[in-house]
Amino acid sequence: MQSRSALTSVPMGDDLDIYEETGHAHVLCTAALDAGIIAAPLGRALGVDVPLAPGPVMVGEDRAAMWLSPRSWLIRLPEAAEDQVMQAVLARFPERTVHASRYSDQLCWLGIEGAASADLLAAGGFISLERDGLPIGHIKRTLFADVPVLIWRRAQSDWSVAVERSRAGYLAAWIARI
Amino acid sequence: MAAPSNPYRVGEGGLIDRTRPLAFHFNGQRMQGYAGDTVASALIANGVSLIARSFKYHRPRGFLGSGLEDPNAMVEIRDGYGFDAAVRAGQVRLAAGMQVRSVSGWPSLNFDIGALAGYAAKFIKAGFYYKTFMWPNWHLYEPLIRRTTGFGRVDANARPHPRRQHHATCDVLIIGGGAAGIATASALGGSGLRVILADDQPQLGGSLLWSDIEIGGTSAAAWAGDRQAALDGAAAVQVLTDTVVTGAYEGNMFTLLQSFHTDGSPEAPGGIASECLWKLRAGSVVLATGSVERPLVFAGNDRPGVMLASAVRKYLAVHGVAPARELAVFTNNDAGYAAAFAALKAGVRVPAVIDVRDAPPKEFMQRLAAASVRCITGAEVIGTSGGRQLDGITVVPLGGGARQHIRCDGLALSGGATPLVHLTAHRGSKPVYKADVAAFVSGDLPEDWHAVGDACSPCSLSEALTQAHDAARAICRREGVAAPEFSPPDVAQTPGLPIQAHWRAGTGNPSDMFVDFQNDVTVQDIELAVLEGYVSVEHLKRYTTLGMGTDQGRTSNINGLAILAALTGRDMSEVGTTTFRPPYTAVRLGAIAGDRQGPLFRPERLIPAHALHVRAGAVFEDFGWQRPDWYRSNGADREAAVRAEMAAVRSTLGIFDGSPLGKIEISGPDAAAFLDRFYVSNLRTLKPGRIRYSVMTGEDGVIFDDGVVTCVDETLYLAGPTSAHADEVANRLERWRQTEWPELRVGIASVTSNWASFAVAGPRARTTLAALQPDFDVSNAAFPHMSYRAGRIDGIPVRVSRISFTGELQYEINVPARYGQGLMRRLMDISEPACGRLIGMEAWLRLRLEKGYLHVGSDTNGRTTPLDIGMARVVAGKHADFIGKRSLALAYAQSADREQLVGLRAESGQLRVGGRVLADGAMPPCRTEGYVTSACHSPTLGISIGLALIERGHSRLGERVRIFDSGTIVDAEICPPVFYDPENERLQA
Repeated sequence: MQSRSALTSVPMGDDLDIYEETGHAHVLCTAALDAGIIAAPLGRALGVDVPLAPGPVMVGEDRAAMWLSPRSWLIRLPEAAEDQVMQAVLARFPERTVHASRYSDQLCWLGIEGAASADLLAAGGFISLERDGLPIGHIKRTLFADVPVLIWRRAQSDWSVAVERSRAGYLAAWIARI
Repeated sequence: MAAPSNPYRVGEGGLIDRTRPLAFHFNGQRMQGYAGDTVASALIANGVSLIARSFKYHRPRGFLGSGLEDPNAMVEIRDGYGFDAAVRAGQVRLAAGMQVRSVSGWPSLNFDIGALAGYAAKFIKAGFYYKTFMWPNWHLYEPLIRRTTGFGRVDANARPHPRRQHHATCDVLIIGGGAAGIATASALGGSGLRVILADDQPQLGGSLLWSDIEIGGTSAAAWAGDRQAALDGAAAVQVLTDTVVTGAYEGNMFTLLQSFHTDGSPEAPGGIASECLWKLRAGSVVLATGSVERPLVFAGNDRPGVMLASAVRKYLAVHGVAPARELAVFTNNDAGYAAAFAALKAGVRVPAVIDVRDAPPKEFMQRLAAASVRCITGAEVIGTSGGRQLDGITVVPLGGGARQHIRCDGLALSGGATPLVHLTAHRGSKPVYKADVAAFVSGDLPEDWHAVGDACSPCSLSEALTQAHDAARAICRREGVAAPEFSPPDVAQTPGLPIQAHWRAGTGNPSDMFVDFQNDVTVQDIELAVLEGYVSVEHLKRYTTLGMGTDQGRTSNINGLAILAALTGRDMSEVGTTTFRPPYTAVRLGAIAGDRQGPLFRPERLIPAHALHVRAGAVFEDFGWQRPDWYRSNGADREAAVRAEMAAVRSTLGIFDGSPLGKIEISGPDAAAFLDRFYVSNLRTLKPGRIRYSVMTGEDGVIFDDGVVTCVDETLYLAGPTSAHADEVANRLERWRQTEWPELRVGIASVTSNWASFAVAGPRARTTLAALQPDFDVSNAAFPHMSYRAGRIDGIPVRVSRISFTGELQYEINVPARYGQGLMRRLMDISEPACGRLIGMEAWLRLRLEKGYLHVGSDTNGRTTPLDIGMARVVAGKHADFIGKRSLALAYAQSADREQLVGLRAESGQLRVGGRVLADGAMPPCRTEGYVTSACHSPTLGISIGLALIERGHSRLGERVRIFDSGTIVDAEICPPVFYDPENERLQA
């Protein structure tokens, strides 16, 4: 079966670079117990520590862990590591007190870079993009252009925006319109 | 005095750029203004005094104000970027090439037949519309009345102005760029706090721009300009000019409308080039909105030529326009004198200043005397003369006496200042009356708000600057930053004397005393309202339309309330004000909508193989997701295609994209116990690899959703809610886990969009699945009905459920969404030799109807329980508790009289959804005892079939009923709901 990404193209400008981020896999980890109990063994199974509070993304050598809720985390990792990590989580938590779900296709990730990136994000979302509102290295769940997204600030003007795959086409059209 | 093209332009002065003339048209006549003019100032400069007709009596109306407070000057404007059907002339900056037209008056503004209504004025007072036009029907009169009223006509073909939206946060929002706003921003400039200063004018300064006061040894206007330059250079301060704060909401959230204007040039068109709607959240708020002046109420006060004194000053000082050649002034406070001095300075003759006070400031009287201007104190204006233009006023001493007529073509009114407290009112703060300034001022301010200047209470300039400084200090303390270094500058201002409230003339015909200029509400209307018992301010507003015009009563409310108070023997505090709601001033709907139009009207959800469905000729319908309803490739029209699609499923194979179906993973040691509390079926006995259908109810026992639950293993289950409820079910599971059963060790993961899902249904479903070569046995024995397998196809993870919604052998194949198109293409290739077809939603739903399967939302309503749909045995067999169980045990739920789901076979005609089942076979009008919930013509059975909720339905099988729908009667037989393969032989095959 032929693989197909959610988006084929997104228009770009001189001071704005928008592209679909590919090449990563994502796993959603959901805990049946309080995070404090499972965080350490989960971190060992994943190869990256999981954050215990909203905000900062924990970045490891080739993977990153993002806090979604007190009992769920989104793990970004190399595509080749997806199955191995899922098996590692199951092996570490055979009763599924932590469960790893395939999530690579749930979200479409857009990379947004450039001087105009903050203006673009401010046109569609109401969170503060100031230093104290969304510091570099932090992620937030919010509404952007009326759809739920994750916004990860990787550098001053370098953002990753994750939108549910079914809404990716709408968001791309919205960005093109803006 | 001025160029012939601008007869009312003063020789010099103003902030306009006289080197940049701008040509425009008004009602087809070519005119000229200058860069920096508003449409209103340019029209006045060109000698236009009649700008509109009033709403009801079509009386001639001139410019009363100079901005958003003006109730009269509504015009339509077509500029280089778009069209506005009704905007206020004083709020629009002039641009080259503008086409301005008046929006009232027929056949013309000057000769308006509607003015005949004035002769019938005595018969059409307040409440006229409520009392008449009732017989035989309001709609008989409505078209004519609508034609003679309203402001502007929408041009459906006109381009909207370009728009965008912006979200922002700041530490301090300062609303208003007058003296107090500028001073606050200046004080906060070095604090490090992020400050936004918003003002509706193109230039900061507010009334300083036309003030003759000196600040810090320089003119007020120059001081404002210097401060603006400093603020523009401050890194943490953002000055937003041409920006109106239109609404204040909870959490210090604000909406702002920013306009971007171009004057027009050979290279670029002129007009409103774009608008930006801001949604701004602020930490602290400084309300520095100032005040608007109100007129005085006397007979004939609506005649063109009568203008607010503040507007006179602004037109003279900012636009270099004199609204009259002979300008009288009528005032009850010091502000009127400033207008007189400004007029004199501009070379306008001032025949008299009339002050209701006996003793105005001596310095003012001396200055007037020096200019040979009469100052008539302790007197009032009681009438005006002229036609469409003022030519004189009648003045009498207060309390009566000799009348004197004074010739003038302009009259400046100053009835006092009304603080602009609308934004605090948006947050629920009730204005309170302050007698010493004769005005309603802000009541309790919202948290972290500060009111300064006139917005707090009418005050002197030095008081305003001190308040601004104090507010800045308070904000710095709250934010923990250093206090401001900025100090209030010295102000050279003549000490004033208090206002003397004067709400209406002591003599004259009340029917000629206008309170609301736009809606023609007179003192007599208020008297009538009181006479008829409408003594609440909210009732008065609705009965008389006082303050309901486009100006939202900025100039009329207080006068109206004061007159009401006097008529009812109450004081102003008792009367109160009406409720101010957002928006503060008119906002174009397009600005609010922003990009939410056309394909972006609302976020669409697309299935992973959307593009391939498009190529296959799918006709989409929005079911929360864009889903194929039918395929043009299957038939020339919808009915033909649906028949072909149904036939394919019954005879060979149908391929249906079910990707939106909910997919929720419930994991953990207590997953089974947890799920069992939501569904009416016993899920604890569900074995690994098996699937069970069930329904989920609310605490009231009413069906909320249905679907299948799959046991992957003892610690992992898949819940499959309907696509419409997928998110809601996931949220419900999470809510109950967190709030009611935190002790259960359960994790919940909604993964709906991660998987593309295709159902293959029909006799060839198994061979089709086998052709995909999954790495598990698909034989009937190894993979029976209602079971689940996970494995791989071509190395890709796959989840397959053998379940049926059609009554045929059916598999639902799930692959990661990126492979959705690939799977669909493979399935189409495999099924092509067997004449398989893609199946749309309509055929899918009709197939399930033949099988008698429930469609939640269609076959259920807000009362339907599992007992009503034939699941009584399932409910009775479950001993464990579940949400809704107690409600299902109540006598009401157990009653045999309830509406119960049954089948219907038509014996004549076609059943249609919504058809009412007539009680006892009677003819309407009569009681009904149920309705058709689903219906279609079954190509398999060759008859019209349906499902229906009918009282006592389960005990009435075989009974004939009559069904009424849109005037036709259909005879039908009540039958079991399963029409197709009741023995389930086909889906078990």
